[in-house]
Amino acid sequence: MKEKLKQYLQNFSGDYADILIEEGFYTTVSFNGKELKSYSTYSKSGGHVRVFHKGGKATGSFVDSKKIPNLLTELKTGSELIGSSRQKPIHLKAAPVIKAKYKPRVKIHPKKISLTEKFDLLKYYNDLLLNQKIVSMTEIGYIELHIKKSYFNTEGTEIDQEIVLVNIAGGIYGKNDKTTQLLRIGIGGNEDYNSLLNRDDVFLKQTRILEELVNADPIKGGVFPVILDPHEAGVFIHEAFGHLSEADIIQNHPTFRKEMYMDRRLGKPILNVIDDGSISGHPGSYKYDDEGVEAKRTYLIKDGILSGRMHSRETAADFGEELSGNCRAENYTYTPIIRMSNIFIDSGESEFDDMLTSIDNGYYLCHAKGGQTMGDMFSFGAQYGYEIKNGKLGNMVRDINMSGNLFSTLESISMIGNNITFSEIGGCGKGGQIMSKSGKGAPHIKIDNVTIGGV
Amino acid sequence: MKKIIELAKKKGVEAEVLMIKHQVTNIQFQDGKLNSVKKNNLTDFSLRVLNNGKLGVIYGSKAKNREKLVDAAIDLSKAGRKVDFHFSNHSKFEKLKLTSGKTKKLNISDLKEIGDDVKGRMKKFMDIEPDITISTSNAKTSIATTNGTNISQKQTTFVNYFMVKIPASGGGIYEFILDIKPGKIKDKALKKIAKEYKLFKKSFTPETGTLPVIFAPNSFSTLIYSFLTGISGDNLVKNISPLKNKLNEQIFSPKLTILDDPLKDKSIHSTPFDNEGIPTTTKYLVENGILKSFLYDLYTASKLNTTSTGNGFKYSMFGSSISTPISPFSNSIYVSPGDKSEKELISSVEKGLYIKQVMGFHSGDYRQGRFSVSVGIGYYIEKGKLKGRLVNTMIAGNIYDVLKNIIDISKETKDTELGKFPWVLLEKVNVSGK
Repeated sequence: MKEKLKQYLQNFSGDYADILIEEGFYTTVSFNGKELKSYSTYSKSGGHVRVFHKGGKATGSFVDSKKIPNLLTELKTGSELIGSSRQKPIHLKAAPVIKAKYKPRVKIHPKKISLTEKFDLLKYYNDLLLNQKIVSMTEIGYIELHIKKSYFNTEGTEIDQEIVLVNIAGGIYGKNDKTTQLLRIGIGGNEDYNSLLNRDDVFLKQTRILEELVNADPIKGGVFPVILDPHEAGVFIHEAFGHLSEADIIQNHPTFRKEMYMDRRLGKPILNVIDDGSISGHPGSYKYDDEGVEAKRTYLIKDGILSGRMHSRETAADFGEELSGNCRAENYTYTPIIRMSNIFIDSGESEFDDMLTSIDNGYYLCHAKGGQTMGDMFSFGAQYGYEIKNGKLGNMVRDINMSGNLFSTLESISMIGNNITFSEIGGCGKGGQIMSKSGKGAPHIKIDNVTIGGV
Repeated sequence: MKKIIELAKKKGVEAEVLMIKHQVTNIQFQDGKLNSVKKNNLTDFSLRVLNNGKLGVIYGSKAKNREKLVDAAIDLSKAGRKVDFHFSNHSKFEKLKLTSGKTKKLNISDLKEIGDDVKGRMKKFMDIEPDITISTSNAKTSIATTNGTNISQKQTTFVNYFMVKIPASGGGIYEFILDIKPGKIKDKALKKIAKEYKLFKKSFTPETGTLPVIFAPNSFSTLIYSFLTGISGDNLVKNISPLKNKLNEQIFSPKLTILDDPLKDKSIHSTPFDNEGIPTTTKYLVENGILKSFLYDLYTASKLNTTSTGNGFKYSMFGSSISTPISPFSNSIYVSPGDKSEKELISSVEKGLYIKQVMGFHSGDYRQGRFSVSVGIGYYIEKGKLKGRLVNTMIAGNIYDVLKNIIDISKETKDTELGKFPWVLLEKVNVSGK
């Protein structure tokens, strides 16, 4: 098969082409309360082709590899059509030719564990949750993906790599006569089955928070100083800043391209933001991206100053900046786009207690609940939070969502904690692709002004 | 498909095969420049077997080595979910024409021409470089079961999406065609975009408090999505639906009527059968504010001692694929229009908000009807006129409160991904701003 694909590329007469083929094995087991909801293993295989020819670009996905020669021809014509209509041709930045095979090193590879054992583990945690009085319903699942990818391009790069991800994630519901509340829960988010074992404490902690949450009052809307816990700060930096650091978001957006210029001051000198796919053990860790470029550490903000960006070969050429290895696809049915790997705010020097005492009237917001960006506007939720009154934590609050403008909010990060935590569960949606291999982390941070929605 | 069904019969199990073939051609202009071409040719299948009352499910891209597939599904069923239903035995379905030969004939050069045309016509109204996506798809969905169902439906889709980016915003003002046949974005719509664009010169942040709000079709459909999770059999079974025991009760303003109509001929929102091979049905979900129907698939119907409403779909808010489990859903929602125009709605507001797009909906507890979202694209209304772009503005509330107080509904409606929706003016919504 591989020889055949290489032959197709050798016979290709255009400027550049690459082929990515993958065979994905997936396992899902899930419960809704006591009921088993799904119990399935399956495999999906197919591939994706990209052609860059005469200044244009064309891509396509296939299931049947016999169709590749035809697809290459069609895409070559398509690419030429694109190129001929553009004043500025599309180019790829030169990248090292790589010949490599990569498998993640793990203590316990999930493929060595039987499906029954995975089922038993999930059932154990599910029962543990359901045995807590406060928990009225669970939605919890074991998800495992194991993808074998082979990548070839006309420059001679050949990479075989394995992508593995396991996690147990979901939500628990608690209710009383006033409200039904949902709290999310998750462990794993890396290659190692070992990270799912002996984690009772994580689940039990969430049930105790749920007990408080059903009796909490809804948050009051307005503009407040806030402390974000590491999970919430991780989502904040992902949503608010991370997306605008993806070069393809701003590439064809003249205003943002102008605003996000290198060496621009974005925050106080205490602020450092990094994207790093090469660190292991997090959801966004990988060796090579889907155009054969090695993952690496990129400083996006250094000492408060914009100092790097996430790129594909195409955008790196367009911006005249360094390759970063961030071009990835959810699976073969999608064209790779620029994705964050593991984005995080680096540790600062503040103590949590000093952050608290600096606030007279504000909130401490905890545990992320998803977010969304639209250019420089962002929005994200918190699963629960606490009032801060005169430097002290007060009552718990619920139904929390906040929003703001990227530039003014980054400037108003006034304190950064000294202890970084990475979230176990990652994930990000962009351009219709849900990338579960995307991680984030941060220490506690204090932001001086945030708009909070409330009733 | 036929072979898998025969093999399953031989092995003495009930089986259901769902097969989706999908061809897509798509071109994109970004900032006025033709940027990419995409051609996909994909297939997906799902095989479910019922063995001693237990479900075994397998998905994949290629149904090769059929015997192995059936055996694997039977193997999974041994530890699978216990269910109390049978696969579809229906053989009568509504005949719908959901394809257009014109859409099938379009090639990449044609798509480019359509894009160039709309780009060129926009120049008459303003000098701007738009983002445009022109996409055609050609799909065939087939379902066969061991109980005699054997049906397939072809569908073509044409999308022409035209957006003018707002400077200093990631969003934009857009217009689109979403249809089975090719269509043209009219000059009138382009002219409206150019006019609206001028509103972005000025920004407003309202005071924190309550204000009347006009929801444009897209943002209104977000609120109705929340309602759809409330009537989903899935959340009734889990006992987390706020609408449990509310059938035939007044839940919304008497002005609101919501129809699920998947059987309109030549409509992009139509399908004669769901993803379980059950005939779809036209029904009122809400009639004059009164809750009339829940949505069920085979599983949730069996749990609640009722029958499937033909709403079992592989749909998830975060991207749907063949491996998305079936759950009750509909994207053939029609909210009945009112008698005022969109313009009259705006001019009736002394001070309020006009909201086109919201952000952060999925962060909220939408299954309980709660929303706390920021305004993505929206305008401030003063003395019956749109005054400028809303910034740093959030709205929050519960749809089961705010939709009790509808002032007016527009007579115009617009296609969204969920169906067809009007503009709706609500009396008061909580606003966080200054």
